[in-house]
Amino acid sequence: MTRLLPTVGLICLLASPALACEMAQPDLTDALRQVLTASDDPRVADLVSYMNERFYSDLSCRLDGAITPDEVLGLRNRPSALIDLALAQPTPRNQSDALMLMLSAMQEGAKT
Amino acid sequence: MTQATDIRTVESLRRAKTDFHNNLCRACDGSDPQLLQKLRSENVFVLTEFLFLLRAFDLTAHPDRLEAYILAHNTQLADLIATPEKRRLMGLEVPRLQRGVFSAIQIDKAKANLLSNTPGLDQADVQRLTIMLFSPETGRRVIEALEAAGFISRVKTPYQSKIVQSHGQAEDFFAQYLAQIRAEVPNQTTTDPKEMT
Repeated sequence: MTRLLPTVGLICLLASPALACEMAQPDLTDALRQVLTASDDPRVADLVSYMNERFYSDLSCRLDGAITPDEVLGLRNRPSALIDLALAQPTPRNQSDALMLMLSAMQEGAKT
Repeated sequence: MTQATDIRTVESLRRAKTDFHNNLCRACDGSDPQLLQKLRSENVFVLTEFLFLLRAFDLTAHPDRLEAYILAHNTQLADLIATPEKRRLMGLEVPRLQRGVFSAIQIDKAKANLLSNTPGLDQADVQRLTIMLFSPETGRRVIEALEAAGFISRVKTPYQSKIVQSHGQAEDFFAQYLAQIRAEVPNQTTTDPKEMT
């Protein structure tokens, strides 16, 4: 049960509507699906078998830039490491603060 | 200010944004459901806002303006790199911010690109300038989605770069979105927001 908690935590995290992701990297999504569904750990495999395609694309978005598809495939024997890595990623942000900074920098440029 | 006015305001903002995405999808070159789904994403909205502001401030027509913009962008990143509290609030990490910093050579190259036969920003420069908005990988995929939809072109140069040239239609839709908000949001006497709470 203790080992299952991170997976459940990740699923709850990915279930947030704010994480809706349309820009998933297909190669990374495929690699994640392969590794998680073929997991030797039956608790991980059983749980992810209930997940639909959205689970893998959201997970892919969450790990985008943190790991490559080849690195994912290299974790075949340690799928729980993927879950830990996903949980360690910062949660998606509201982009308003960054957009305000961008606007301010552009205003500086326009003064020239 | 009545609650009905607030509700109408929310409705107007939501409708304008939905119409923006509908306009993009209607004007899209293809009908691939996955592409249409991407065109409805928040990242597409944000990148279009970036392109709209670039045009509004006329930053890519004047190398000096672009340089001043990039220098201000570099200063902002340096500030975030040096200030963990601000960085954490924005959910940004140092390595990612460092990827967005322009070197002196990259600034010169970005300015030179504006004066070339295919004027525009290099894709890598767009990725640097939007580093606070999304990762370079996500930035590339948003650019690719806009290209697949026919709103921008990427021109390969002999120098291993890809110049991003917007056709202007996405920016026009963004301007329509703003105009729609101005037209539809109830026009009442401004109230101090602090008094509203």
